[in-house]
Formats: sequence, structure tokens, C-alpha cells
Amino acid sequence: MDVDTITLFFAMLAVLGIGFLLVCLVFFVIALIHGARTPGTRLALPDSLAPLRAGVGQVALPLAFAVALTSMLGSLYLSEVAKFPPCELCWFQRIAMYPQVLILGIAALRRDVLVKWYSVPLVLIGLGISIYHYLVERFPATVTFSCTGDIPCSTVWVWKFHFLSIPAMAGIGFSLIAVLVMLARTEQLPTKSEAVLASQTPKSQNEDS
Amino acid sequence: MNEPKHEGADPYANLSNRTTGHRPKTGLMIIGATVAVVILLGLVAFFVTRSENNSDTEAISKDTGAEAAQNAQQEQASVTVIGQPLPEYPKTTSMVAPPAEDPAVGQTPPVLEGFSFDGTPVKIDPADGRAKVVMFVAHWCPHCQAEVPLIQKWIDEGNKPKNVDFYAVSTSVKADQANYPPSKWMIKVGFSPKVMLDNPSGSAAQAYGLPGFPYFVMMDSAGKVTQRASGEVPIDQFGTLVISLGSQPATP
Repeated sequence: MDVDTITLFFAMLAVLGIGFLLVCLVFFVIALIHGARTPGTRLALPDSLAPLRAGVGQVALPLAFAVALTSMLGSLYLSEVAKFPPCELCWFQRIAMYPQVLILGIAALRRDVLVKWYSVPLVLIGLGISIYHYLVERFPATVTFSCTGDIPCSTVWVWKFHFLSIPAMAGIGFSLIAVLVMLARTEQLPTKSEAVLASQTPKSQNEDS
Repeated sequence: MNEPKHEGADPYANLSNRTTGHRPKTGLMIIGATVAVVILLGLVAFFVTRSENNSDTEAISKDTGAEAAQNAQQEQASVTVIGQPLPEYPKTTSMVAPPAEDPAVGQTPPVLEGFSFDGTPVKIDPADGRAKVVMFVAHWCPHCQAEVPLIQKWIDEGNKPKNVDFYAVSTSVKADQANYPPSKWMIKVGFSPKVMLDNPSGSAAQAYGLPGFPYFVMMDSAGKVTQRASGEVPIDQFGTLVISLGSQPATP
């Protein structure tokens, strides 16, 4: 398999990741709307969506680990096999991504949802650098227009589907990890009926007393 | 008596509050679906790029740099430089050196004698009576990787004046860098101009005063340099320069 095949595969994984993030956003909006109509809670999913939410919560940490591992192996492939030399900003993103493999791997084994306190800050730093790197690529204000030896950060090694470059894919990886880690919760998000029940219970207890 | 709950005080206290253990089937289904989709994407990527590579091979024309690259026996070759090297490229912030500032304008570049990928001799002789564009490219340079396909597209669209010859010199070849070997790159682009291979010390590039990649030297039918440019020149600007070269009379 050549470099084109592998980079296309990474790009398609990134598109899959974008799809997942969009679905999460839709679920979040639905939960907000239902939560607003439900007393006692800000977020509540319809009963029909609750099993799916619970299932995602259950596998979120292993999935986040898989995203981090894929991102790390992908970046190593691009630099060591495809021979795309990483620029300075690439290295900063690596610093934010590589430890995630270890942190999230241990967290997935221990099912430790508190890992979000360690993972998310690092992810946010990496995401910020990815966004900046992507902007440097798209709007190369300080761009060098010829090659003299150093690799400028504005160099676009991979460009797929007219919007995906390496920092864009890294940014999607960081976003996925952040969302997945936040979805791995100790408690299931209440369904609408559970939230209604919960809001009614203290009231009935007060009446009894 | 109920003991007070120390939420957050003990970092290990909440470890028992593990991710929801019920509804295991949904979690397994999500994992299974993810793995299936990833495998499917891998297969799609494999077959899409394979069909693209096949169509690239079919597009190669005869007697071109790409055809020589198809029968590649070498990525670097010996080069003979005959004549005085061009002076240093002027220090300018512009990609296209202003002729007034370029000491090479009006000078005759040296003759280059070398070989292509398949061992075919290639000679760049400024005094052969034809205007020409000589471009120096490096396979690992992202600016060259961006520019070369655009130039080929420009040629394919029939924009190249018939009285202007194009040559490429593949130089600064590094086996441990991206996009190696350059022959494969030329095949992929379907590059039609003849390609001369520079030697490991870059003698051809040095003789023409290369400042960076890509690098263009344009000369008229009298063999005199009319323009030099270094960098990823926008294709419209490049086209204007070449058409202007084809239409201008030879420098006396």
C-alpha cells in the first residue's frame, strides 16, 4: 500500500470522526431541548435514545484510546515511512497527542472516567495548536514560497477532499478524544421519564411527611 | 449513622463509580460497527487509489520524461557542464527576479550534458537556436510537488508555445526524503518535458545558480537568459512569462 492509499484512509477516518461529532452535537441539542421541558434537569434524552447514549458512554474510553493510538501511529507513519518531515507546530501537536495513548489506555483498562481531568486540558492545548497550524496553512502570511532546506509550517503535505490536511486531521482527533472522554460518565444521562420521576419523588416524600 | 460523603477528596474514591456496566450489547454493537466501518474505509481507500494509479499509467505519452521514468534505471546520473556558470541569483523578495536586478540576464548559461531516468542522453544547449525553459525541481520539495502538476496541466491544455522547449532537471535527490523516487513522481504527474538527472553534488543546479526550489531559467532563441524565477510561481504568472518568451525576438 502506498502513501496515497494510507493518507486517503486517514482522511476518510477523519470524515467519519466529523460525522460522529455532528451526531453528538445533534444529541446534545436534543438533550438540551428535552431538558428545558423537563423539570429538575438541564439535559434529558428521549427514552428511545437513552440506550444508545448509555452504550456510547460504556465504550467511550476504549474508543478515545483507539483515536489517540491511530493518531500517534498515523503521525509516525507520515514522518518515518512517508518521509514527510514534521515542522515545529507538528511537534507541539505530537507532544499533546502521544501521552494520550498511555493515559487513555490505562484509563480504558481501569474504566477511570476521572481521566478527563488530565486528558482534556492536554487535548485543548493540542486542538488550539492544530487550529493555528491549519490557519497558517490556509493563510500563509509568513509563508516561504520556495524550498531551501527548512520545512515551513505552511507546507501542506496532505490535502484530501479539498479541506483535510494533516493538522486538520489532528484537530479532529483531538476533538474526538475530548468528546469521547466527556461522554464516558459514571452516571447515565437521565431519560426524560427518569428525570420526571426524579423531580416528583422529593415532592411526594414531603407530602407523606 | 451515615458517614459524610467525600466527593473529590479522595481521587480513588470515584474509581468504583465506573462506566455503566448495563446494556453491554449496545456497547459491543458500537465497537463492532466502528471496526466494520474502519475496515470498509480501508478497502475503499485501497481500491480508489489503485484505480487512480492505473489511470495514471494509461495517460503516459511516448517520448516524454514520464516515459523515461517508467523505464527508470537511475535517479541520479553524471552531468557535464560546459561553459561559465551563471552568476548568483539576486537577493530579492520577489519570486520572479526583476530583469534589471538580475546579473544573469543577457548571459549565456552553460551547456548541460547528462542522462534521463532510462539512460537516454539529454542535452540542454542554449545555442541550439530555440527558446527554452529549464526548471530545477526536487522530489521532496512541497512547492515543486504543487507546481509541477500545474505546469503539466498548463502544457496539456495546449498553452505552451511551439517555439519554446521545456526541460526539467531533477536535483537534490535524497532517498530518505518524501516522494522518493523522483521517477515515480514524474510517472504520476505524467510529466511530458524531458528530464535530466543531476549528479549527487548538484553540478547542474550550481552551474545555473540555483537559490531554492523550484527554480526556473528562461532563455531566448539566441541562448541568452531573459528571466529567472525561484519559488512556487502562480501558474498564470508562469504562463505569461513563457508566452512572452515565445513571442519576443532573440536578444542580439
